Amino acid sequence: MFNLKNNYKIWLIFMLIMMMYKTIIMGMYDPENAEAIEAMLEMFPPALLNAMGFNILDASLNGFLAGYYYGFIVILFPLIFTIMLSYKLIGKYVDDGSMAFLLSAPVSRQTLARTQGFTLFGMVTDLIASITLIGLIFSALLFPGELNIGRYLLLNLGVIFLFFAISGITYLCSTLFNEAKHMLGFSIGILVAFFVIDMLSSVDERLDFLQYFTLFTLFDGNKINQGDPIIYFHFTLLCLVGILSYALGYSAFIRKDLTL
Amino acid sequence: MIIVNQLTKPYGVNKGIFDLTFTVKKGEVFGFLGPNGAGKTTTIRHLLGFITPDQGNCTINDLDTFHHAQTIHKTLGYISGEIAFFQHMKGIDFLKFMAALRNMDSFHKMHELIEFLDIDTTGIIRKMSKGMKQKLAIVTAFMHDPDILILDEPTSGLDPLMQSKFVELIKQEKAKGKTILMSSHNFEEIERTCDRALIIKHGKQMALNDIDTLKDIQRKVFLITLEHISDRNTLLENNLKIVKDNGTQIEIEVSGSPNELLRQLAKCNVKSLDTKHQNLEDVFMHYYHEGDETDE
Repeated sequence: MFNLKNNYKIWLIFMLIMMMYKTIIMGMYDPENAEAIEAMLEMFPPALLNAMGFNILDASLNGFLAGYYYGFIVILFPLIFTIMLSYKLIGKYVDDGSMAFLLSAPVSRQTLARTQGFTLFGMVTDLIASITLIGLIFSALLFPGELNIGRYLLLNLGVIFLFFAISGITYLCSTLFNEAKHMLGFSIGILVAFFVIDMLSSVDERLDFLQYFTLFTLFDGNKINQGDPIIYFHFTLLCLVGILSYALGYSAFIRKDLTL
Repeated sequence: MIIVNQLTKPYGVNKGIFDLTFTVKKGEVFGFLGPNGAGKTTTIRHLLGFITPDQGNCTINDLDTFHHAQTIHKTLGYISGEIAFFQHMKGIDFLKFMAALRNMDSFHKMHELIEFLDIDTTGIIRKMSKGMKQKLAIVTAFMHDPDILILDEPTSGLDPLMQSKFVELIKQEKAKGKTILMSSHNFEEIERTCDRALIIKHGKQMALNDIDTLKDIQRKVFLITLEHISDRNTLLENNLKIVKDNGTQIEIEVSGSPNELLRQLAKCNVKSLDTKHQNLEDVFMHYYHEGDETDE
């Protein structure tokens, strides 16, 4: 209750931004004239498009979304949201010392770590689910019958798995450290590193080996769209990363020295 | 009852606390004196279960303060040395939020305290003055009528009138049999409220005495201005400890009772008599010198 009240505004802002992007990209889709967009994209250097994750493998609406929306934007915005939210839910109270009031209220560390963890993942999932729903409604209005709903839902399930892992990492950073600069520094540092490695690995074939060093390899919109069975292995790995990070963060938080 | 047993927590070089042992008895008001950085807050953090000791342990009502923090906090009131609120909240909303977390059913004491301390709770905390925030923290610590109070420099930021009111509040709580540990770097405040006091420096125990003993040891410097230079010899010839001697202006240090000084002054023609404002360094000089000798 306390958490939602303070954070729903940012949630709403991110929701609106992502909704805007999604509807614009959907609006760009033209089932009759997929070549027109391809022609436009040919004006850009292919390395740049690869780096941004714009990679269209089939001309259906699903393929179009998987290539454009789920390549880059779907990661970037929830990523910023997740980093901000993990800090605001736990980190901030430790950094500024106001957690002293919560702990002496008395709320146990266990309860705090658990509630804030669930809230974090809950709100991120909510964000992704809302956008998924909006996409469903919007595609039904613009292109009735064009969207393969099963594949589309699977794609979004993948996003949720990805963000289970990502929020786990930001949760771990926020619970492990006592100071904002370390919490945010490590969260942002790790995730930006993954991001850059992901971009580099898709720019040049010689850098392909880099894909084994980034979490984002485990989410590949086009592979999910094609139903490549490797995605289930990816999902499992993402789940493991998430569970491990959340568990580590929780146990660190209930044991550590708090300089309140 | 609060028991601290051989508590040790070093932080870097010469920082932290070392082998602290003391007991605060039930119904006692216990003072915790020391300058900034002496280790008062570190000790208090242990008592609240925020940090774990490297060696030793501390218990409140026979429960370990780290592992049973939640149980202990149910009947404990705490004022933090550096208070950090949820800045965006209104004063009254913050108090209600804390009351809700505590599952409080009676708001009688909360309103009584708001009135007693004269707090305007309608404003947003971020915009409040330091004193007002401090008063809000006092309400938070006392409003659920806890049996044990741990107060880290509770009067910082309060004006002298409010400091007196706070002393009154402590006396009321003591009369109700509450156990109170309060830290301060203000000797007067501890002197007015506490039964016993512990003095620490560099994280080490310097002295643990009842307050009357401390008063005896406490040194006061009197600033005396004489009418005639001839009276100067009367003062110089006695056993009085002269700190400074500028002709008709003389500073005399007294430990404990000033009787002897008064007897001698009665023989002189005194133009003015003042006590010099004492800072903490002066008050603890006795212990600090002792400490330095063993340090070096």
